[in-house]
Amino acid sequence: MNQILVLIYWGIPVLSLTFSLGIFVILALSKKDKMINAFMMMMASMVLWSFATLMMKLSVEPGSLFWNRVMVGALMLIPYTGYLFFMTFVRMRRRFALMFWGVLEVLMQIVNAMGYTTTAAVMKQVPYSPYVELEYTLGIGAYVSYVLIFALLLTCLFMAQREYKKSRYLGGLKNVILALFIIFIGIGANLVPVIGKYPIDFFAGSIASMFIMWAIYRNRVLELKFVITKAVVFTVLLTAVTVASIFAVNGLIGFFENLGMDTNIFILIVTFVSLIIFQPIFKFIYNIVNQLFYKEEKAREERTEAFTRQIANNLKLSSVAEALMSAVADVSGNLRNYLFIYDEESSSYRFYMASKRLENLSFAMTKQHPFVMWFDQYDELITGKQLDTNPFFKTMWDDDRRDLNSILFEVAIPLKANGKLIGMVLMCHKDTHSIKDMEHTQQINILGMTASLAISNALMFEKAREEATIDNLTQTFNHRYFMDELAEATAKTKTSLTLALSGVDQFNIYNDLYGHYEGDHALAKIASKIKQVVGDRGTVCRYQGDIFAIILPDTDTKKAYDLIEKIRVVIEGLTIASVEDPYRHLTLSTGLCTFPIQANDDKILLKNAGLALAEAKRSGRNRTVLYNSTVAEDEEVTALDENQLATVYALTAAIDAKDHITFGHSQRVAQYATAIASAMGAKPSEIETIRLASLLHDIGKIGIPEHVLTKTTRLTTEEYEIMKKHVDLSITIIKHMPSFAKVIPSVIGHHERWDGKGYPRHLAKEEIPFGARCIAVADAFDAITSDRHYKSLYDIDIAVQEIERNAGTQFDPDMAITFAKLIREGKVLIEPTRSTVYSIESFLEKPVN
Amino acid sequence: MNFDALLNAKRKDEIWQKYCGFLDLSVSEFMDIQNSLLLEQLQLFENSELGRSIFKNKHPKTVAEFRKMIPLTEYDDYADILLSKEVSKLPAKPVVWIETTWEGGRAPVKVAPYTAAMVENYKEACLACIILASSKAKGEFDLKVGMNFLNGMAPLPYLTGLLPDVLEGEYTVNYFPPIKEGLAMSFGQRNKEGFKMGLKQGLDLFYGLSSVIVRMSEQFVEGSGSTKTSLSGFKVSQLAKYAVAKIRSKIDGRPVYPKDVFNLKGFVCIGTDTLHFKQKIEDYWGIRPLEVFGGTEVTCIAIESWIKDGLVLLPNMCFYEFMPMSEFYKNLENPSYVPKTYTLDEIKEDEYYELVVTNFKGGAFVRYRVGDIFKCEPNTKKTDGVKLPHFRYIDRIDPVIDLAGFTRITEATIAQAITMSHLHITSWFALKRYDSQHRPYINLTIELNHPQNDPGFDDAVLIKEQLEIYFKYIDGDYANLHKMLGIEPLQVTIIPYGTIDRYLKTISHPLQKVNPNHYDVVEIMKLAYGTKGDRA
Repeated sequence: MNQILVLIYWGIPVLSLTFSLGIFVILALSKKDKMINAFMMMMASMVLWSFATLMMKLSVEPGSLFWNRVMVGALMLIPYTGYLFFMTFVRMRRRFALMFWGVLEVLMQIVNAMGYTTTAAVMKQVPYSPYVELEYTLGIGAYVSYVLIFALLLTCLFMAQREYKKSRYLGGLKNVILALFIIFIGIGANLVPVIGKYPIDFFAGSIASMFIMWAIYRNRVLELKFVITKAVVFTVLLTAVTVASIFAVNGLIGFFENLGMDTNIFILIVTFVSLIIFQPIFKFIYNIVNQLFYKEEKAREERTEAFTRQIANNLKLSSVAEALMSAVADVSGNLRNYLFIYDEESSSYRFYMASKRLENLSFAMTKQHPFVMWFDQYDELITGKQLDTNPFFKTMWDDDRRDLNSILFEVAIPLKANGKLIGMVLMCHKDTHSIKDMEHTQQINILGMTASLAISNALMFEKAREEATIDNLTQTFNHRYFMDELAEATAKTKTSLTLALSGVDQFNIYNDLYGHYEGDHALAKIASKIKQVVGDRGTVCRYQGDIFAIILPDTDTKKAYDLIEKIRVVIEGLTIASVEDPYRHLTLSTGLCTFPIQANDDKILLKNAGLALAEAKRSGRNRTVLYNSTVAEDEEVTALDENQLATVYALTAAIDAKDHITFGHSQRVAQYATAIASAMGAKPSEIETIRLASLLHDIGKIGIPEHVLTKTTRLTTEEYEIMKKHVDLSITIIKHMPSFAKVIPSVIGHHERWDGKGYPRHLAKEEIPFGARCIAVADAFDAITSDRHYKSLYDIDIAVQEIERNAGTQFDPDMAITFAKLIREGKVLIEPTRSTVYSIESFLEKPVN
Repeated sequence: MNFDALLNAKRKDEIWQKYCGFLDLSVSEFMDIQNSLLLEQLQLFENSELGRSIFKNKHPKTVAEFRKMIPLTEYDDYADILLSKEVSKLPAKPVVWIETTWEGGRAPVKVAPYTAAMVENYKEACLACIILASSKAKGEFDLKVGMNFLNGMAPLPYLTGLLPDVLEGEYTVNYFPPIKEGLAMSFGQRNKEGFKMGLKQGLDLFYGLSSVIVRMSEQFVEGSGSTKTSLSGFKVSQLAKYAVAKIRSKIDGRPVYPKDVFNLKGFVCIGTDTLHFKQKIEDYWGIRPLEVFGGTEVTCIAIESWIKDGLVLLPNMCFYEFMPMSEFYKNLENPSYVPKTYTLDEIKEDEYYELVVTNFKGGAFVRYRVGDIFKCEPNTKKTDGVKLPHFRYIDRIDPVIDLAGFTRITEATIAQAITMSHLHITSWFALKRYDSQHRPYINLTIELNHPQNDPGFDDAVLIKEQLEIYFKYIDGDYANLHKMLGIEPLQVTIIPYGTIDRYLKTISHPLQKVNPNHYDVVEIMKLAYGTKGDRA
């Protein structure tokens, strides 16, 4: 029991002194302001009080009475310094009151110093007890001082209670009031000797200091965690170990002396042991301190490091953004964060990503938005409070303010790279509580700074990639991107993927009619509409010229058909705006093919979609055609697109223009020759080639002099030789059009004779290409039946008879007979104007030797 | 957090920054706010019928285009839509309509719609006034929750009456007299009752019309602090103060001044002739009043800083343009002339300007000629370090005589009074003058014909009395000038018949009937009374 009393008797003042001194050191190390200074004064008086008490108890010179007076003086200082601190804490200014109490304080101190407060004080050994007790006599000054001290403390409490009613917003005020109350009780306890003999006042003082410390911490005036530094831990621990060593030496020295050990060796051992155990203890305590105060900060630091690693060398904007928003959410503990990134197209900062998935913001910030203007000038973040208080934000429009209010905006953090604002992170209220922890936002600011460079690089990369993959005119992906994307999408797809190839109908004619500028404008407009309808359901690319490719992942044929039909209808109704012709319209033909049902890989998919598109064009345009086997049969046909056909027609038109007499000859030959080919059982692709060859068979006549070409009388031998050259000329022309190469055999051989007496290569029978034989019959028939000025009239029957007559000599006999049959059966229609006939001699190919 | 909470939490810096932070703006920052909010207003305005009627198919997209394309306007341009309160035709939905008299207008009153955002801005301006009124240095203001507030201004639908509404729920004050009771009182009664209550319970804030404050102060001093009120309801401290003041006045042999009895924290005053009354108010009350400028069409647009020496414009209330007086006169002589205007960053010190405003936040008025003259004072003479220009409110534009902020006399008012009086006044002109006590009055210079048939024709006093009958009849506030403020509002000067006609033959410009220019007046007086001239 006695030992417990000794512990209380000595321990509490020692602890109190250590505690007060500790707080004083922490305060001294921290950043000072009025409040800290006031609190330091209060702590200084408490340190003095504890110190004087210890000195008094130890009867240190000049004696107990002296230290008692110092102690009383310090005790009397505590309420006044407490009062000063309180006034500073609640930011109250009462100069008169301060002066009044100050004067009284000085008077009390004088009275105390003159010996009127304690008249006598001596430390006496308590009988049958190991400790000494203070015996003192109070003077008149003590009673007066006590009254004044209590009056001051009561004033403090009264004011505090009044302030609390008004200023409940003032963080920590409750703790300060509690601390004042505890001091009041502690000092009051001294008036009751039964309790007063215990160091209740010290205990109360220490507790009160703790409460005040906590109040200051709450008020964020003192960042406790930054003050409790490694140095403080080191100093405190070193002191403790030294004190413990001294006690150990003192306590055990007698024991070792009895053992006959040299005390010096003993001290050396103790010191050595102390030094050895110091380092692990220090580490242990330091870790605990870190755990206590730096735990969150450390976790955040680790998170920042992880984030830095995550974005290093990452050039994908979405990945960098995702990493940033995830890190922001982790550090702030708040999911309501939004990333805005500068969009060059709209010249505004648009929402890019939120920490919380599926969240989206519809508003954008233009360059005139006050946030953007602020970040252009300053690097500091913007807080919600600033919007109200900083006149800079008076520039804000009501709509912008409403947008920010709607997301409960709290903090905006800039993302700047090379001094340029590339984006910003908006942090918003977590539910209804505002983000109070500015430390978090500062850390997020650091995250932002780290992310800025990565985002900037990713943006540049994306821009470069975009420039390489975007078609400038239509703002759709280009051919290169399309090919990569198609390969990737088909490889990835697990369900079905449909590819649509949409071609603008007769676009070349539109271009010819209105010029390329208008054509480009039309294409851009159509592309924009297609993108609009497709939205995020697929990828729109410009495959080539006037053909768009639409990749529709996870879309079956039915859905794709509906979507493409929607596009078709939209384009059909779309006015290609023009001042001169507001009613100008274009239509779209589309071929669809679905992977993996109708194609095994991306290449076949593309080919099949192309076949379907060609079919759509062929079958009347402005329609959507699904790929199927029928379309597949016409595979070869797809080699010719509408542009090429247009070229062919343009060339035949050129011959017609040069030789009016044979006007329409090529088209008629094409009609007859394809009818013969079809009747002879040719494949559709062959028929198509023959049709093309028929159209081009006389193309070389462009190079024949007009006087020969349009001569109305019989040609001379020289003229005939010149005329014969048109075959070679035709081939020369066609050679320049690689996609027409397949028609060359038919064209080159159309003046060959079955009997081998034709030209230019003197081929005979089946050596003559099938197409050429068809054209030969058709060409001769049209020549007989056409209104040529150098011949007389012949009727169709005579013409047919002539064909039959020359079967086996000039013509393939089967073909001649088949054709005659077709004419007689009326399966080949002859235009009425062709009923007139001419002299036979001139149309037949002369045998050449 | 509302204003009460901020005050209680002692967040003085935050309060100052929020409400008075505009005083730290540079001119370019001020213009950034102006330009940004003007573009917002253009967008709102363009989409409204009122906007289309004013813009007349013009679509300004920039501030420069706006100033170039849009004509200057007057209330007549808005009257059809505003007087019928056609909300659907306005740029934004109003939450309150503010009224004022329309002197010389085609209706008795003018009305102006206030949107929620405008009211919010007005609230901030009012709080800024109160803060600055109680400030002696930058950031140092002396306000508490629950202060005693004498609101001596007109109730709704006048703009001043909006104050209690905007402060409700934001800043708690004890109104003297309480708002509800005050509504049942006349203007004079309300001021008297508020003053009495202040005397008993102490007064912290005073918001009033300068001329009325001076008159009340004079009456208090003349009665030497006599209150003619019972002792009931007196706060002990106030009674002690009152008693000490009485004793001191006896000992010193001087009257009791309001400053002996009241310890005002803030004094806000408005009114046309505030410039002339300010010093008097400070002498009486021991506190320099803070001048504020506002109006029905413009809301509260200018406040003095803590030095109370020159008005500073608020950046977010209206877009301000300034028309130099030279341009004003050119336009006055030739109404088809389009006067030039300047923005705040373009004006010159020591110049006089007529103010032209465009409301922000969905307000109705665009390039509106308010009819007030300001002088831009040199910043070098100001000690507050505010970088924005300081202005001195001079008066209403010349064709209007504003008497102590109580009433505005126009050419039409005077002409009507003369016609009704049947006096043979053939020519006249009127000037605004100040008496020895800085009180404003109208000096009406007249010519009479057929003097021999009109006994007493040359008795200026008789003519004045006769004219006053009709002035009082036409303008109700005119009567109050004498009753409430002790002002003699009219003086008549008679000049020989034909003088004005003779003068008109010598000049090429027309003679302005109200407040003609000084040169014209001097020349007429020379013609009338010889070279010595100026009796007006």
